[in-house]
Amino acid sequence: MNRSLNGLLTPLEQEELNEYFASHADVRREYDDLARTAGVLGRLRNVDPPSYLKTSIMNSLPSVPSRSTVASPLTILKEVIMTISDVFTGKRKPVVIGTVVVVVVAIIYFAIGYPPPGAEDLQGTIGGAQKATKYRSAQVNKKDVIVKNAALQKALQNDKFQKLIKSTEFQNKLQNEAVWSALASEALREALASDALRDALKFAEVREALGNSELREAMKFAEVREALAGDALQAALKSGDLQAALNSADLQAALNNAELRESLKFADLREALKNADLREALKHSELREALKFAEVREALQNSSLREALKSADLREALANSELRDALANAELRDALSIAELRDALSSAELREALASADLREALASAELREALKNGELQSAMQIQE
Amino acid sequence: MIESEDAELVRRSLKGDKEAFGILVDRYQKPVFNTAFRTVGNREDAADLTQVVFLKAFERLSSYKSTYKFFSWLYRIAVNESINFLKARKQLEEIDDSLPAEESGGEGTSSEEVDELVGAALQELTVEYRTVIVLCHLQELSYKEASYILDLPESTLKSRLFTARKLLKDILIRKGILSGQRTIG
Repeated sequence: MNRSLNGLLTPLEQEELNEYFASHADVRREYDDLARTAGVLGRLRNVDPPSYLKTSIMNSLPSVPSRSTVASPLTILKEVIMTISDVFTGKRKPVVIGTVVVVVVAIIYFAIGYPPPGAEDLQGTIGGAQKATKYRSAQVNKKDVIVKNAALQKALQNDKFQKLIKSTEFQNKLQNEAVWSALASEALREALASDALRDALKFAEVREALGNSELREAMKFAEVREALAGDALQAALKSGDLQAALNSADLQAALNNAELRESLKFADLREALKNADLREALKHSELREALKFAEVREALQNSSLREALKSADLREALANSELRDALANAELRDALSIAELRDALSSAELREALASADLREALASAELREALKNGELQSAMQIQE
Repeated sequence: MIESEDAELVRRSLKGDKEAFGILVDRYQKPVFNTAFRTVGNREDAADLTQVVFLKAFERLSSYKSTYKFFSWLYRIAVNESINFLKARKQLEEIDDSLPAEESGGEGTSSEEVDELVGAALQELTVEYRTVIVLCHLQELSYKEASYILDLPESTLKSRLFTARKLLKDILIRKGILSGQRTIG
């Protein structure tokens, strides 16, 4: 019906739909109402913006787009890291690079501001240059590149973390705003600390199910989370009776009345509704709405999700609204399919390191990613003076 | 054609050519303003939001990737800004029942009244459903474009659109704007 309303059906498909309507008057009525709704929406006018708007916009703009013309100090720092990386890999000779580095560091020195910031102001930078004079030596060694962010520095010495930052998939996902926001949020990192949740998220079916907004909305209720883990709902879903009953006005009434339950024409549903937990859960319209979606019903019958939902830890994690909201984002769900990321999220220290904005900024650099592959820069970044 | 023109205007804007960005503002201020207006339900707020959208777009222009259409990227900023605005106002769950059902449109309802009544009905939807209606119906974007803008899988977008239509239909019927076989106007 959706596709028909959008005019996306072929003539043959439309004909088939019309044939279906001929024998289903109630569905036809629903379709007609929806078509009229679309018609009413089509009559909404596009209004003109106020005449002053363009002038206001143009007057509010800075002189140039902020990131396009002048390289940030961090970008320059990355250049320094790359230069040093090239020395390690033999692409450039130290004696030549020494001069380049002095120039670049001088630029950083003034780009960051004068007088120079205190040591604490450099916290949180990757490859932060300690002192300009340090780079004047023609002989560059690993001690020249220092990670000042303590959490990140520690993480870089961890095998799991090294594996993670080498993952191209992770490098790409980290550039997504939603993924980044999730990792930067302490509450979300805490939620993702749940072993049960991370285990569940390795299954595509679970991630797909959590992508359904109606299901996520329903999961805010403890009764629903309990019912989703129970056998009664499974039995009802398996029989198909529940699906049929969801459009029946009798179902809602039957949830509060034992006699009405007995009079329900669906035998399997009558049996399933003997379970009080299921009845309580179905009183929430959000769950009833969610169950109208075929993909939700299918996902809830998936053994991976069923098993996962039996974990009280997982149900507790899903009670977190911030987590549910974040899981609405497909990129984040995809990111959580990366085994290395799930592994890293199991450690409190690594979770903290993942929140570092500098890590994200650094991993945005194609050159840095390339350097990570050869391992030289990676070992250099681990050194702390 | 428009896409390649936009890409060129973006390139010039990145070099600090404000005139080029001005052309993009001319081209897209109306759809951005209408997206914001139908999402937040207020013209003054929509104008402010449109200004913020273009300012942010200009500031982040270097992060724009030409794999997407410029207007899709702009809509994405517009929708996110509108949602953030509503969250800030804590009006996400607010329902405006100010229009009584008896104000339903009969044959003589003017187009301005239709607009006001349907616009108010739209505001009764939660922002999640409203944005889908705004993009797919009012801005007539494809599923693919709307999916990108809302950062949703296409399957979720389709099911959300279906639910949004049903909810809106119920609101329109409840308000008497839509009833029986006859629509307003």
